[in-house]
Amino acid sequence: MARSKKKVPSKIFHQHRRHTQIDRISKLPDEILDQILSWLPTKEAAQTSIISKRWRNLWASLSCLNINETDFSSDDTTKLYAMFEKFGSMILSHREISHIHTINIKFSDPTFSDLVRTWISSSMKFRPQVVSIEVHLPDPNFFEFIYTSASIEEMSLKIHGITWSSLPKAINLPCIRRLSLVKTSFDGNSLTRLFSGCPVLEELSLDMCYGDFSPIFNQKLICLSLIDCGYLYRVPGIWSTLLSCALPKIVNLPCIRRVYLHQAYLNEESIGKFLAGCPLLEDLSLENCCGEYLTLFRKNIKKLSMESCILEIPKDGASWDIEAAVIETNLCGNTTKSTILIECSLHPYDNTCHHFLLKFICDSPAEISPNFYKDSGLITIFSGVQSLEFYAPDSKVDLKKKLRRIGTFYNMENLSVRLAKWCMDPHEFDVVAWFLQNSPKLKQLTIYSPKCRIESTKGDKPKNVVPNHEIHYYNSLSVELSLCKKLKEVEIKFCKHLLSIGKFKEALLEDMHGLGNVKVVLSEFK
Amino acid sequence: MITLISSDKRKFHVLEEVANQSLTIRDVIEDRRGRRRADRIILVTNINSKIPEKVIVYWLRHFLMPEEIAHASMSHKKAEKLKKWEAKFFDTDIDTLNDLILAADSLDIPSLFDGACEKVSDILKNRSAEEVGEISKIENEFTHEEEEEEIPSENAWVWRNEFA
Repeated sequence: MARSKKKVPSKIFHQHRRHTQIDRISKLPDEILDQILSWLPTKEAAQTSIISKRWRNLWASLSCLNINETDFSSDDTTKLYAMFEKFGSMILSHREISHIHTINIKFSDPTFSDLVRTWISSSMKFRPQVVSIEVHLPDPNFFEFIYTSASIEEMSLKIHGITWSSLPKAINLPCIRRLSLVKTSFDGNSLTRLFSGCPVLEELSLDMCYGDFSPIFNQKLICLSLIDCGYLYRVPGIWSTLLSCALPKIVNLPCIRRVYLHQAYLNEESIGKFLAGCPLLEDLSLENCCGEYLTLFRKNIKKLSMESCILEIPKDGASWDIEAAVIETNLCGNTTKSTILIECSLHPYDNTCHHFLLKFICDSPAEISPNFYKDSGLITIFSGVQSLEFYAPDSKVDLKKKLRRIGTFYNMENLSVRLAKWCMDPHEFDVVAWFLQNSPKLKQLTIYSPKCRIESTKGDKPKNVVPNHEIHYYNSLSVELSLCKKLKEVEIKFCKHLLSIGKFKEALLEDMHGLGNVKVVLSEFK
Repeated sequence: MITLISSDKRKFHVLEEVANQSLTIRDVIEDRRGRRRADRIILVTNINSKIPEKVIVYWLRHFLMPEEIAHASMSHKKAEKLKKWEAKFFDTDIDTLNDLILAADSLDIPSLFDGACEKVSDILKNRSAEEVGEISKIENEFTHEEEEEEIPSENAWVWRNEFA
């Protein structure tokens, strides 16, 4: 009874839809539907087979397999194992076409490692081109067979476990262009063996690998990443740890364009040798590195990015000036052609290094915009910029002292100032004033108000408080502003609550009235 | 300047450098180089005018970003901005996405194709058959008899019941 009741309205509904709406997605060709499904985990892609007849058999010809441990969940491991086993055999044995393009497998539980190995070895006969595997394996050499696949073009191998895996004796990956290895050990000649087994390799990324990376010779390599790679030292108390990550000493990479180094120790000599071996290098990224970077600035590197790097100051202070001179002349020659992008958040150790960098930037017309400088001490190095976003969240730093050491921002056109306190605070106003006095070309100025101060006392509603003495500072501001001859626009950003206080706004606009050509904009800051 | 004409006869003028992001158009232009001006008109007949508008917006956004988009060393800030912009760009109805996929496929714009496909797959994700049907207007051709009698023998049944 209940069944027939259910049936009737549903049929009407279906017929109604059939006439009014067009099933457009389903009309897409198989290849496109396959592309859409390749973004889904394979489990969900397979479940689309219940949508309609059109979708029923698409799962059997998926060109991309995404299998992740987290797709399935069960408290019972035996049950889960059985589920995985069935799922794997469904996917691999019921296939209608004999080609898989991409395989992504991610398992971190060692219980399933033999299952994963079976899947991967049996999926190899479908000639995959892109393979990405993250798995926990008991035996580091469990995967040797993958190094002899003729079809793989891109491979990323991440094997968890305590031991480091080593490269197998036989490597034959004739089509591979991109390779990423994690936790692999390299002995004397394994890098050479790897390169000879991968004749068209273009991108190599090594993460947490240890061993000897020198010599590194490759005629085709374009992109190299070394992430936490180096020698393994035994430290008493700790099982093992990666300590020194030095640059390879003997390098010959005639085609290399991009290099990324993470946690490397650099010194003059190693950088010099490394760069000499990479004549075409144009994009260099350093992260968490330490050492001396002077030599880097001499080369024709177009894009240099340094994040969280620590500068080490050479013991011999006298050599600074000479080095700085070399850098200046070289840079000025380069910048006319290309923009040098510098993104730094260095941890300043000492004032001397600022001084050095100050010279470097200040004489180069490089466009550095817009930048956030978390450490106010760093401002000293950017006095040649055109556009600056000055952000100093720490109110303890004595900015006035630091700023006094810089010369003039003679290129600056756009400036935005955001300080820990309200810029018009008597203690902070000097900073704004200093910028205004020392930026002759300034065209646009933006000032931020700090986060809203909402003071609430017991029982009362929260109130926005604008102390009176702050308002008076607008007067001083307008005096300073009138000295900036080229200034065209001043934008003051407030938080919403402050902007709604009418008295405050009026006082402000009144003070700004005498500025003539300068346009004053008040806007909301979120 | 290149002129694209959509199926409803609207004209779109695009800079050659911008339109070159479509590998198909690039090839066509390369083929016709040095010939008359009329040859710089390209008919995109399978696409209505709403789509070229969107495609051109997409081209312009990517054109203004000369760095290699996929490359990891693009600054995080820029990459994030682009990501946000793309999320907004693809936040549209399923019909438009459908057309975008077709357009990106025939004009050969890999990044647009991937982006649109990803968005559609997001829509399909974690939904029951009925929900998907509602959103994507996919007809469920299975009648109830079929659903109850035929499917249990099919693999689809396994997908639905065993791996839910």
